[in-house]
Amino acid sequence: MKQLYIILPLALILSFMVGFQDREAMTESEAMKAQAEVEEQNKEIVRDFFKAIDERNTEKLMELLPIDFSLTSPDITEFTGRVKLVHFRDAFYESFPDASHTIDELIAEGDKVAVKLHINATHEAEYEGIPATGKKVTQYGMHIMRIVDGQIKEIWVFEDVLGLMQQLGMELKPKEGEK
Amino acid sequence: MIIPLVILLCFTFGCQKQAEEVITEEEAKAIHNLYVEARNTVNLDLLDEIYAEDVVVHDCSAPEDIIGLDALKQYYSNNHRALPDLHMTIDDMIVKGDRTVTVWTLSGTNTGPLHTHLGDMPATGNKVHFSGVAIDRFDEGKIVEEWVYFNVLQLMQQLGFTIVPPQPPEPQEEKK
Repeated sequence: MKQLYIILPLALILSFMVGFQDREAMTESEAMKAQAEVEEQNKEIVRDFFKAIDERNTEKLMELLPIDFSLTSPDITEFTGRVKLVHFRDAFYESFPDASHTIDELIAEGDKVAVKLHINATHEAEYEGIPATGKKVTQYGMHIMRIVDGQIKEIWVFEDVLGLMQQLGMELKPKEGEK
Repeated sequence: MIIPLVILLCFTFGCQKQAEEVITEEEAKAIHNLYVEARNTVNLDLLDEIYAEDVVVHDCSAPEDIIGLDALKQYYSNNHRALPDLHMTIDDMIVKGDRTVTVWTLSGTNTGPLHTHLGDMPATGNKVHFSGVAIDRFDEGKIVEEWVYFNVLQLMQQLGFTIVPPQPPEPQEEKK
């Protein structure tokens, strides 16, 4: 009888501990599942974004970007405002009317999505002072996006501009008088 | 009947878990810190602990893929020769599954010869400062594949280059 007195509380403590651990493990895996869901949603937002860009669907773009959207291309350009992005897109599509983005890889973690992509396009009007060449070009790049409340709040752009210029026939030369 | 099923289940579950997290946030931080140290102290032997021997690097500034750790070290040596005070920082990092994404900034002064496709260019004394991004794929704790993107044109402009329309070939034969 005395033994039972010892075993009973022990078993109670044990079951309590196990139950508690289980619950903790459950909430942890639930949190992970929720996080994975958000990351999948964020990837979908990024896919929608490039689709809206290519289809020149301004209405959809406005849905996907907040008013204070910002874009940074380190040391090259930095601006705030989604309307500026629309202007930027329009100017680019004037030079490359058939431009299309292909997403090669999406890596989502937390509120960020890294996008490896390339753009296929035909150079049909003046671009950066280069008259139309009719050339088909491919530009490779990487974007990093931060997504807040279902919208793309920030984009960092890294692109191989030199590669694009060379495909348009431009050549890299040392500046005269700098030798 | 049940035992093989259980084994199979364990196996698939084990595999899944591995695919989900090949590299932890802490491991990624440690490896990228070591990378920055290797570059900033020009101790390229430290890279042995970071890259697999048969690593493949796709760098938009290199005309071809860089294949193998030895080739990568040679490529970095050329960078360090052109920019002996090269300094690198990592500004942002994403760690997911078997991949990391790092945003980095590199600065330096061009006080040594620069290796280019046009041959070695003499030092300009120009300062460079540019940012880029790298995706690294890990296997067994080491980087086996890497993709590097940055604005190479911007770097070349900082190094005194300019971009021009194709030049007509110089009429050298007429001079003779």
